[in-house]
Amino acid sequence: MKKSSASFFHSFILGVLSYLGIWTLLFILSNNHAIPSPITTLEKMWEIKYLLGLHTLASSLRIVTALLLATIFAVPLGIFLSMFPKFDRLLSPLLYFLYPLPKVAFLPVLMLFFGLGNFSKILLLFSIIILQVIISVRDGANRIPDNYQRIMSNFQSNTWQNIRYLILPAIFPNILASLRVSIGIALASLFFAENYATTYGLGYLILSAWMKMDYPEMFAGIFCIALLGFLFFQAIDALERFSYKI
Amino acid sequence: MGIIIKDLNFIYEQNQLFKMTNFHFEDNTIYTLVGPSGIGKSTLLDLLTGVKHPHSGDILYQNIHKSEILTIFQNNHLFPWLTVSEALALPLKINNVSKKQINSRVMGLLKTFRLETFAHKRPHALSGGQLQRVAIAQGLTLNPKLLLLDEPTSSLDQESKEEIQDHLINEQRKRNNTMIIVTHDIEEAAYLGQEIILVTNKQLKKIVNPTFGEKNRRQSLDFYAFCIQLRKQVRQK
Repeated sequence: MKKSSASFFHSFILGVLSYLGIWTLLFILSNNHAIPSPITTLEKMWEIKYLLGLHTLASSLRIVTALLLATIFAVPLGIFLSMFPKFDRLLSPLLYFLYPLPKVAFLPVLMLFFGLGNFSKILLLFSIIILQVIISVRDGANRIPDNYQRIMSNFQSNTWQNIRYLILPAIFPNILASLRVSIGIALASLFFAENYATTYGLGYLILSAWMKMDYPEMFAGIFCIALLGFLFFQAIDALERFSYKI
Repeated sequence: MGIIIKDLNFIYEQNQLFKMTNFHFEDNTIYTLVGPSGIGKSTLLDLLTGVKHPHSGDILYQNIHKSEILTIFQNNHLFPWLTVSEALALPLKINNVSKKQINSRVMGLLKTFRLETFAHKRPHALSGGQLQRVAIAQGLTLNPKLLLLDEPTSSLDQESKEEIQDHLINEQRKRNNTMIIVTHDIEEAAYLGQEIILVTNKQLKKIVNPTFGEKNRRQSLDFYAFCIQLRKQVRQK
């Protein structure tokens, strides 16, 4: 546990320092007030720390809810498609049609049907994440070697035991890999979704700061999105390490 | 009489692999199955476990239920995410054995197969011999009445091979089960098999091992004379 805390700390310091380094370089090179200095921004962050915390919390809750819901629905569906190739052949063409669609374009439709509140925003993130996870889980389950299946049959396992002891552990890395990719896309889409009909969320904070031409506040919001992304990725890494320990 | 094969006929990719009248495997015996590559040794194991089905004929089991048959595969297929003790516990969990019993059986097997120090290691951290010991121990967790082993010591060094072979003989004596072991190694067939089964001309031929049970067989001339005789028989066919 101490080792993983140290690794988290090193990773965090390295990430923040390189982020600040690139930012400082851009600040010096651009010499434009649209890119404020990291020090001014950090001062601003300290000044509005409670407000920033509130916006970050709102965005985090939306992302976490969407990630959890997408995983809960996508994992059984992906396993189902892998176990029943007939249904896979039937549903895969639809998945392939839906997958490349820019889901953010549907935000107005989602808002129309599901209201302006959190539900439509979470639904947008959910729709972005779920397809990625379904396809990843299905492919992961399809790649399980036949020999592993033979071992399970050898021990007279039933379908549920196959899922519990073989499929779920085997596809766990696939689930995490798809979540890693999804987090990046979800954060980018969240910025878009939070520009509409909300007063809380980092997307809203960044856009409203931009409108006010308060660039240190805008960059404070951007920095918080980066921090949020870092923390989500670290959480998934920790989950992976934990799964190898148990 | 443990397993009776009646008029078995099996064709694989248009090649007739087996066409035999009657054959039987006794209870509480170690059989080794030898014959040239591709003759159908592993297929016979698949027929015995029901993974493959004969085109005609029957395989009848007496005193053995299908759930009491277990196979240990050629290249041990331990799940990479399970530690040694978790791998040993897996068959027991699947068969709803209580936690207390699982712990005691796993501890017993770890001790018997000298795996205690590797209990929390995953397959990638084990040597070939250790992996094979885990695979065999895993196969024995459920105390199967019929244990089928497909090349259990292939790709192992001589020392590990002999260790595994002695483990198998000891376990069979303790458990009084039947083992059918496919091997391409004549010395192994002669050492492990109470009866050696030669797969030949789509039939099975039994050869009684006169040296089985003798002490220090690996140092005995009789044992090597029998190996030479056996090798000749395999080559003749």
